[in-house]
Amino acid sequence: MTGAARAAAEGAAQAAWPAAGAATDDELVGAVAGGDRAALELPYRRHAPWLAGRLAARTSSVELAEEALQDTFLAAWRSARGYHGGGEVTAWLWGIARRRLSSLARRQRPGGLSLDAAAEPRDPGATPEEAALGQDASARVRRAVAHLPPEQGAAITAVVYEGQSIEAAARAAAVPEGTIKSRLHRARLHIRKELGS
Amino acid sequence: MTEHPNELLLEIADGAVPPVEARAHLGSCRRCQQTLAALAPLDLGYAWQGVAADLDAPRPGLLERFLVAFGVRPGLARFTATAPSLRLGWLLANLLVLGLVALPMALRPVASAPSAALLAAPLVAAAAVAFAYGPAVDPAYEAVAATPLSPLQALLVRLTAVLVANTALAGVVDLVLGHGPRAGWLLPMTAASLLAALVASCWTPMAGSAAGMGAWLLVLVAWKASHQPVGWLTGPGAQAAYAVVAAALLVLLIRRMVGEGWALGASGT
Repeated sequence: MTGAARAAAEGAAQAAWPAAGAATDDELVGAVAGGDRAALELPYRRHAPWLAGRLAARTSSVELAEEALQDTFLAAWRSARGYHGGGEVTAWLWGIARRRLSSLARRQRPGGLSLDAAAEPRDPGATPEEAALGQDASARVRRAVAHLPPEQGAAITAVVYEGQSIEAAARAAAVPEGTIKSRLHRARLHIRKELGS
Repeated sequence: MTEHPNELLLEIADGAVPPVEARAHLGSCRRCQQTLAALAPLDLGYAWQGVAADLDAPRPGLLERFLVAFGVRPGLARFTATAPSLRLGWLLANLLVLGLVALPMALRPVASAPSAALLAAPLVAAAAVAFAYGPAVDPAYEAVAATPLSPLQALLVRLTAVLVANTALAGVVDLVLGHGPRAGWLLPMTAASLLAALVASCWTPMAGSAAGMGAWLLVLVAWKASHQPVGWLTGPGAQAAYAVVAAALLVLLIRRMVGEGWALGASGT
């Protein structure tokens, strides 16, 4: 798929996402279990970003992570009836995602595993103490952003702090969109490294 | 939450689970979603398209999965299973034919002479097969025209499906009535149907129907003229002859189809 086609598909997907309600995760899973086709879009919007971050951190293959992400939501759609609440939906989703990624990686490369056995990423704000830690984490992220090389820092400022689209950030910096994307990618790796140290 | 949780967005893009109190904002704020999509190491919109396409794809029905499990190519299985407009007709025709056969057998356990209904069964089959071939009578004709199958191939696929199902049903009827295998009429019916299909594909449905029915009527006239017992018509010798004729007609039909190109086999989907 060409970059333009992917962008168009992404635009269509954004447009197809309905306005989110304040439904809890359990309510959403209930709606999914009831076969509500539209009810899967909201959990995707809510949980795909962090799942994508975790999956991508565990494999060097973008395609593999993308496939695992898709499989996770398809499996969630089909097995939502078996989910009886009582636990965090996020833990349930991540359990599915991790298994899907392992089995996809095994199928792709029997024997050798391309998975990174990295520690679980942080989970801010699950308890009051962790919420306090989460505020601390925000300050640490801000410090990490301040330490970025100028071009990467500018990309993060434009996209994250000013809310610009990649297209607008690229136009403002007079560089191709791909350059902004790769600067964002390298900035994320920088920040992860600094937070991990 | 009125302000955008910018640092949290960076953490989420790195795999951190968003705290519960931030989820409502993240789910409804387009700016934050745009930022998350920009930061994501994967193309989230593209991945969603894949999920949506899979959700919207039709699930294979029970019959289709059954056929595939028995080694039928997936394309043929779908073609055979997904013709809802034909199902009512198929069901009615089967009930009619099986009823015509089962009723006399139930009433007269010892078949001293074949009933009129039994003798007529191949005629009905030949007429039905010939007239199922063509835009005027086939409710699924437009759908067939849009498949990689030629109408002739489609007809043979349907014929096979119907005769296989009929044989199984007739076997059940025989077992229920407890007469042992008496479905001797199926072979002449198959031969008459194949002849009708072959001629209909070469000329017109009317010609096909006439050929199938005419051939069976000739057999009946010959039997009457010979003053032979019923065995002459339904015994093992006759069954073998029907089988040979049916096989020859099948070979001719397949040769004709190969001439047209067996498209579905090539595409294989």
